[in-house]
Amino acid sequence: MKGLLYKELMQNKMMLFAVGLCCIFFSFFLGIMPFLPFMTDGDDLSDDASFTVIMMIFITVLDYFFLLCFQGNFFQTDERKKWAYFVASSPETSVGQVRSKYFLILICDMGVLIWTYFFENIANPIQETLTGTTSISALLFFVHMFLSAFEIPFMIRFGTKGGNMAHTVMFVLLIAIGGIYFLFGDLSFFDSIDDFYDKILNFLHGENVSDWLYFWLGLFIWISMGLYYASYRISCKCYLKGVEHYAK
Amino acid sequence: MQNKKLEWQRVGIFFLLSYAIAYIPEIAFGWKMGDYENWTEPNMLAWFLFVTFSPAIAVVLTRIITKEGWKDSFLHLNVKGNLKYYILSVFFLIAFELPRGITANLMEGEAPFAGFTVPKFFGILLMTAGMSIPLAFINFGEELGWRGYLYPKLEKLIGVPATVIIGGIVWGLWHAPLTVKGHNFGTDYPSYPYGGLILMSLFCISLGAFLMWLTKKTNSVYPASIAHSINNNSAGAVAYALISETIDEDTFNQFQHSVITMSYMLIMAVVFTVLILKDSKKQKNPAEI
Repeated sequence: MKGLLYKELMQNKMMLFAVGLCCIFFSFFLGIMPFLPFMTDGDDLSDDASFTVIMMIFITVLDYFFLLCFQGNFFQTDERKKWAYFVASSPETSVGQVRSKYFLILICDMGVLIWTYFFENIANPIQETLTGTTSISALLFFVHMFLSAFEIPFMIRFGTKGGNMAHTVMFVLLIAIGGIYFLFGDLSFFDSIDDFYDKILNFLHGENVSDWLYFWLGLFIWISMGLYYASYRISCKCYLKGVEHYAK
Repeated sequence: MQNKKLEWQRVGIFFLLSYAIAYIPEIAFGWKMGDYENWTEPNMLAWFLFVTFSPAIAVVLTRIITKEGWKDSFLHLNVKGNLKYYILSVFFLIAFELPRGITANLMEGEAPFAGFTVPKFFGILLMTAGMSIPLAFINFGEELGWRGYLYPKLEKLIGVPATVIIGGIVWGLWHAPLTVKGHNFGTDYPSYPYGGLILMSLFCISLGAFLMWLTKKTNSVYPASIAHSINNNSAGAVAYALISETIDEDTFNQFQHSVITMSYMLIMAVVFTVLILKDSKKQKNPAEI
């Protein structure tokens, strides 16, 4: 397992470097640049706490989004029949190969969470606001886990092309669900932009949060963990069937 | 003899470094900022980051200075065969917080448990338990230092019961600048600040015994980091889920409540110290197993 994980890290070091660079660049660009004195043209942005919080949430979402977009490449690097059969015949077997992929994605997920926590601690003194977005980042950690749980078995069973298709279907579905909600759902939450900001701030501070929202969020976290494990078991079973779809 | 002397030297260097890295900025804040409420201002955050990881920084520096290397660093996950301890690290302290929440209700609430609802209660427990797992990295620094370095060294030098007590006191007093400024129990209690320091040390002795047991069972600092994270997050969360909305946070006597709940925390310390001793005995005499 250690050897395979080391192989994953070495093989994907450029991709990991790219994800890290994107996260760092956009975090500084959006989270610190607008707050520097020469950029604000004398306006004190720190007076508007809700703007800062929304900006920090946006950065956090963006960081996880980068990871979700790049993670398909972690699978593409190993799409060779020779390698797949070799690793399946080694003592690690295909289970070790699949486990190392799932572990790598978890490590990246943790990396983004740690980065957003450190960035918040570095940026808040410059922003002169306590944003408290680490809890949002921890929640997004599980959202990423939830989405990956669906995406990875497709990547393994049908190759990265099949996985990318699942990726696209997932995004289209999410956009469709959002669209339907915006057409027919309760939009009182978005009545005015100021109200919307205030509601997000209240949620972060645990004020006026519905009891059932706590329940569903709590349940979602544990379902995500369960699904990730179930996804790993399914991927182990279908790894060798997926090898037939590899081009090389 | 030579080995023992070297181990004491390592403990001494680690002790000095972990205290110096944490105390110097904390005392400087205290002098500049006054009460703890002022410390939570945004410009203090970056410094706290440094303080939280001071035991880990001290471990790295001590290992480099004394040329110890990375043997017995407890950095492996060791999940295989130890899953039950990982599960225990998530749920044990949450379950332990429940009587604390109930006691707080009975102590202070004019209408105990008013505002309590089942979905909120379970929702908060599930959220706290789940989110504390990835957030355990925040406490990883402390666990790598205390349970991953100081406790095993002390255990070899002075035995298990003394390690639990002295290690707990060292860990508790490491929090002293924060405790004195009111982070743990406020500042409005009769024996301030000494009572707070003693209580914090007793609390660390109790929790330390459980965390030491977890680390020894799994040979890894990660379950202890998770349990530490659960402990830090669940204290407030369980109280929020359980404590009556009629309790005013500002007038709630945290110190008095902690003194009362300390009784069963100490029972926990005794139980886990006995368990560690039993395990050590088994390791020494494998024929008894």
